[in-house]
Amino acid sequence: MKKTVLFIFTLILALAVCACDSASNGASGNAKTVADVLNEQTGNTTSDNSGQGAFVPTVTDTNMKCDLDVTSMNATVAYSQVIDFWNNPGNYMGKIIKVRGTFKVITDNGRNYYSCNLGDATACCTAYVEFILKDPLKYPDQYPKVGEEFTVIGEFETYLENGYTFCQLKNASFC
Amino acid sequence: MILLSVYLFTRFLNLFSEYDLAVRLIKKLGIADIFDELAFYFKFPFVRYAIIVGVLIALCSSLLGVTLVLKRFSFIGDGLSHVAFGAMAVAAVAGLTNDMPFVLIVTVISAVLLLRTGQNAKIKGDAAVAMISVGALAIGYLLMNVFSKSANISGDVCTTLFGSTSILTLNKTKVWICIGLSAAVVALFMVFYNKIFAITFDESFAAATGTRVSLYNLILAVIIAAVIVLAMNLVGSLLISALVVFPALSSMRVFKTFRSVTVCSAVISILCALSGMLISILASTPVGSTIVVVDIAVFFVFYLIGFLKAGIKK
Repeated sequence: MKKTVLFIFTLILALAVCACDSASNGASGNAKTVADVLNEQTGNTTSDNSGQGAFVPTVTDTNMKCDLDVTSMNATVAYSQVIDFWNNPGNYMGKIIKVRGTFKVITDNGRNYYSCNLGDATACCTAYVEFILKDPLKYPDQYPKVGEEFTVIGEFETYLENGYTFCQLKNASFC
Repeated sequence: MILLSVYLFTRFLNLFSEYDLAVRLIKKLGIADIFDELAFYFKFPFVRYAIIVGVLIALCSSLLGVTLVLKRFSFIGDGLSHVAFGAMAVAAVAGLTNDMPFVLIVTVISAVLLLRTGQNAKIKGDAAVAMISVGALAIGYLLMNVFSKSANISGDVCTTLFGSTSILTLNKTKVWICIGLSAAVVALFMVFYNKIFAITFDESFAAATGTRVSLYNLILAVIIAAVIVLAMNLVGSLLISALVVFPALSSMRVFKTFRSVTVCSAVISILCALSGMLISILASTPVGSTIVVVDIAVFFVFYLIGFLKAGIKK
């Protein structure tokens, strides 16, 4: 009995020490690829454009009445909600949705696709929803920096491109 | 539970003076805020789907867990979950819209091979499980890295292995498949309860009394595979064993008959899964890990109860 108690106590102590150690080192949320490690070793590091702080918009629209406010949910549920946009888009068509996440832009065939990315609680997975602004603003001056947190509100719709269905917020504006 | 009952009673009947005190106490403790938050999240269909499917999966895995633990096949769940991960990777690479039927077929075949090769196999029991388990995991991860078109492979793998939010992101097709499979598993278990009981405790005696042991082992293998594929949506590949094993082990600390252990295991599994999911939704923690931690806590409680019960009997 004494040996069992002592063993359990030692195990808990060892786990606590390991937890403290990893917390002080800081755990990275993203797994590195072989290419990342090779780049680091050879000094070819790419700069990380993760923005610090939240984006402050120059143009906002306060008249939109929000039907679904994803910003009021915690990370796990907000991420799941955005996934549900993709799984069941019919339930959200025409609804005014407000989301908060990090800004990302993809350029394809000369066109910019702007999206709001949300991570789950462990930040290992991300879901995104694209948006098109109602008032055309100048990119990149009047848009958030890539990786910067921002809030956007818009009307949910889907569109077809290259045989795939995508979700986006149209007539959107920053909050 | 008493405070919860009082709170609900006063909400329904309006306040009386002595219950008003309880309501003020509940509000001071913040429990009302927790219920308000839960009521807010329950408005969303994907949360309701997650609760329904999660409870069904917990029920199925607990029924199976008792048999697996008694037959010393606890690690088969782990091995088969890795095979399912490999099958899921192949399905993703092949671009299958709905991967569940393919994963189910591959997992059933693997379960049958693992459980039926015990008699004349050149590679025995645990070695065969280890071989298939790590092989499928490695092949699955390699295929996902080489052929996957996803922009976030690590995230996809993490979600599949640990089930961080899989249960909250089910589409309607998957929900119906899960409900159908769960109903089939429970029905099979209830119909073949006596035979499963017989082959769990003494296969040789069951065979000697005319029971078709190989047929029921095959049925058991199919049930195991179905439960593994279902449970991956709840806790992920790596944590499936916990969902299968912990409720059975907890109930065995206190109860001694097969029926009572099975019933208690089912109750524990459902309550732990429900609590884990609700805590995860409120505290924004990964679903799979939270459920397993609740299972572990309940195991320690039951271990203590069993220990005290044995002490009182002496």
